[in-house]
Amino acid sequence: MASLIRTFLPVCLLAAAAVSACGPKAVRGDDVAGLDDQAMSTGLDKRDLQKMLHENMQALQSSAVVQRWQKEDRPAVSVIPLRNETSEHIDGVLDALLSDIETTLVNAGHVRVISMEQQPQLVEEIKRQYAGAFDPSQVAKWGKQIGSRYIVTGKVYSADEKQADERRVQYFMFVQVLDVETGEVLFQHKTSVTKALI
Amino acid sequence: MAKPLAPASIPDEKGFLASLALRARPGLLLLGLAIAGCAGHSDRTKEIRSALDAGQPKRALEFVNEELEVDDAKELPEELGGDNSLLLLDRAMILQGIDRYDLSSRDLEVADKHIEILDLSRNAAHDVGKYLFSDDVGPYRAPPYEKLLINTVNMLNYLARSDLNGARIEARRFAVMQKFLAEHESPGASLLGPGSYLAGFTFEKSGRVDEALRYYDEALAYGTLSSLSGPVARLLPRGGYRSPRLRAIAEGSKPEATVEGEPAASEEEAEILVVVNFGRVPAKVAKRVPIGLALTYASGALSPGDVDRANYLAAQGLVTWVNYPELGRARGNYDNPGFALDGKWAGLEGVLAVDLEAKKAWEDAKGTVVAGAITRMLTRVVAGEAVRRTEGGVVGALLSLGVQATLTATDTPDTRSWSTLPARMAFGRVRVKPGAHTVDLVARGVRKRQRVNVKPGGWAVVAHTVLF
Repeated sequence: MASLIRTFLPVCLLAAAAVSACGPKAVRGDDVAGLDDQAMSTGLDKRDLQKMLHENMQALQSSAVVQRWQKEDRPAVSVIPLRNETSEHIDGVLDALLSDIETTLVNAGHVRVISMEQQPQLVEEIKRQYAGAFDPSQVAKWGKQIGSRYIVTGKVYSADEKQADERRVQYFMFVQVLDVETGEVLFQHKTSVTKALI
Repeated sequence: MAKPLAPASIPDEKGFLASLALRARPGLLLLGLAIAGCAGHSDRTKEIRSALDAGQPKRALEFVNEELEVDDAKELPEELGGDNSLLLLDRAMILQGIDRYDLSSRDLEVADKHIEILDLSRNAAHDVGKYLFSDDVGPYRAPPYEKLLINTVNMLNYLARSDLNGARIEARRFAVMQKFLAEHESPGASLLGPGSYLAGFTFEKSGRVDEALRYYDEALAYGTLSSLSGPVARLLPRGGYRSPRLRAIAEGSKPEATVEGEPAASEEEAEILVVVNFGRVPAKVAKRVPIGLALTYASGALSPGDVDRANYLAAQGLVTWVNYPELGRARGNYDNPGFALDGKWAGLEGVLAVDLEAKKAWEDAKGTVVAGAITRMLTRVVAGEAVRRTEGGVVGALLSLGVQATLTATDTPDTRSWSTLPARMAFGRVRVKPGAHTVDLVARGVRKRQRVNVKPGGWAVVAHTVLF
């Protein structure tokens, strides 16, 4: 019996330790150092969005279009959904980015932001239209419908490659400012983020 | 050149194997007890398949939810380990069959991601384990046709909901997988007619002519699809993509099918695509075959040394049967589905025989799988023999039996597969006048009627999935 216990005790202890370490537990991002830094998939996460937002907004702030807005005494601007041209289902994340862009524009104070949150049907209509080829005249129509002078929008593309032991997705985000009257692109900037499973 | 292993070499391994077996006895017993309780995937899904056979998809859904340990199909399992991602694929097909396209999409997307991680996480230890312990050691490795069908089935889910954005994402994922398979398996493994057809349809309706033509060209490389002649003839003048296949089908194109029987197809006309999935692919089941037959199956995959050793042990009467997974029978693959629009019969075209793809994939893998089963069996016998000779007498014989029984209990034939896939997929495509239309689809005696309302230049996709 004693030899049996000697044989099995270490195995049981090891198994117990392994089992107790296996169960997931809820944690708070602020309590676990680096939790937000860890990439968990090839999708876009908070850190990727912050990087893209920061780079795009910084480029926008120093662009000619902001000087134009300052001269026009806070023109009305709307931010409409970004087109998802990637191989990942990231539409929800892109909608979150849209709200971030609105927030940054509101706080910068150059423009009056007309939120699309009050017009969910139009948002759905815009998303449906994105199924087809990009049509600037359509953007002008939406701008007039919303009552905006300018539209901020964009598109995200991806280059997605898979190897035997790796999958890499490179995201390229283009943010644009369009003149509703003319459909002219007044500002465009690209940022990129790479995610991978290796 | 591999050196044949003489039967006499078995005693030479005695010391190592005996000490390994003796030292591992408690571990093996524990492992045996742990695994002996686990049935193979085929056993786990038996009730699900039986419910589908009885034409009760909702009952099948309850069984799959029980296996996933969730209350209903809206929930995802806590863990995606084990076979849960495979069960999610099974559930996704059942959900498509009951028109819950949203939940089916979610399950497919979760399983798609997880199966990809499993694919990337496979390592040499899993392959060694497959040859030493059990066929189903290590994560599930989906064959090419299953990988391509994940995105194909999901494209259909999105198209049935008129969501071109979601369908385009799945089409792109399909293309990434195709490229990977063409580079790492074979160009033939990357072809799948329905996936390319649906991707072409998705991009055509998105107004992206060249991408549509490229996918249609791929679909035509997979098989003859007469329903594509009209769309290709319409698209070619608008795009830059050309190929001899596309030119040939466009030149031979006949006036497109219309409900009214009128050949003209104006830009204002709308289009309805129907997809009928019916029957079910053969499931893998555990099977026992005599060692002689098993050696024939595995002739190309076993080393001459292993063949000699197996023959020697068979002659001693130590080895008689080998357990391995075999394909069962497909269901419903001979059915003739029907499609009527506004009460008039229209044509359906067989686009994919999934059951034949499953059979082909299995035939390609069979030699290696049976070779693995023989190798594991040899390991068991050799380990048992080594223990018997080391201990000697009755104790040795009992220990030998114990070691062999433990290793046998842990060896489960790998019956994992996406067993709720339909056996066949058929497509029908007609040009219609804008407005309301009634679509009737029949498969395996199950009728589905759906009213669709299409705008000028618009489209609709209607799916009917009957999994028995």
